Amino acid sequence: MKLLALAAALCFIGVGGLVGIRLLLLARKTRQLPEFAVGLGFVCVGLIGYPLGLMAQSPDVPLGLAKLGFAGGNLATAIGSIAIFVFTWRVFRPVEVWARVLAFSCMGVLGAIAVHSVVSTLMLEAGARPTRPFMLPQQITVAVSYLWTAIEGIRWYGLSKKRMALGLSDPQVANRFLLWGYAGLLAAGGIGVSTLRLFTAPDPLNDPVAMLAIGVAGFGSAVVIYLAFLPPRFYRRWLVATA
Amino acid sequence: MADSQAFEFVCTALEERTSLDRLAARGTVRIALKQAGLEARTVSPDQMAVVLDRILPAELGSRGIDGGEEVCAAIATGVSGLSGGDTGETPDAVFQRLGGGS
Repeated sequence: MKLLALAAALCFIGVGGLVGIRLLLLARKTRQLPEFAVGLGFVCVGLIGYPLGLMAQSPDVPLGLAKLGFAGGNLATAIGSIAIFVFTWRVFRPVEVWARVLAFSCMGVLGAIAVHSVVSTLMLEAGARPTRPFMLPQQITVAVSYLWTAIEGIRWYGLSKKRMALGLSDPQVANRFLLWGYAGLLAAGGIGVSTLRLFTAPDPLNDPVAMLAIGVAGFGSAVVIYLAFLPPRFYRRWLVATA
Repeated sequence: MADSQAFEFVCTALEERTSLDRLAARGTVRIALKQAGLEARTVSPDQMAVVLDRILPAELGSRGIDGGEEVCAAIATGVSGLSGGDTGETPDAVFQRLGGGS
């Protein structure tokens, strides 16, 4: 089970990093906020935050390096999650007041926890391992960002299907909304189950249920993100043919 | 935020050309847009032209308005002369770009 979770993590890191870099390069060309935000989200969470977090948890890593990984991982994950909030808010709900309030509240929570985490890690006494006193609110806030993403993606897939019937929407774009929704569901589900098991399982770090959830979410996210943002030619052709 | 220029134009034209009052006209157009998966805030003139051709005549008919097709065709002529206006970037446009402009 540990191998499955590790393989899934590597898949997610690889695909998330690749897609993130592609979107940041696109943002450099277009100078548009959405691709910058989502690209930054993938790079910070997938390519930086997740691997650093995994490294910091390993008992074999020297304490100094673990502290650095812990602080850096937390900071990168917070920046990435804030970027995902910005993307969802600005792309799907740019004028709704409730969306602005939700986005800024969650971004504030994530920012404050990240700053606290970095400062408290830097001020740790020699020999002490870093801890995450605000892990639960942090995990809940990150899960909210992915759930919101999922709801908007699936809602827009529904709207796009109606437009497709009138020739007003591209089947590939409609499918991209659905995949984006699935990515949000998988991420929120993985975070939800693993966080729950962290507080309820007898041996949280070796809990098979948490590992299975992380494995399924990691593999699933990697597949849907790849198909959404780096769709191979056969997949594009299949979407058009079956529309 | 304000509704799009195309939406406002069609609602005003419906009020002028049919027995619908302002509230009924706006409600009818909103229902037609919902059926098409569109929003009043972001609907473009091109999209509105399709709604006028494919959905709105039946909606008018169901409200007892005779000659819905002719009314919609006349309004569509006016819609085609509208500029897109500043409706902001839609999620469709963003997701088109994110997939490599497919």
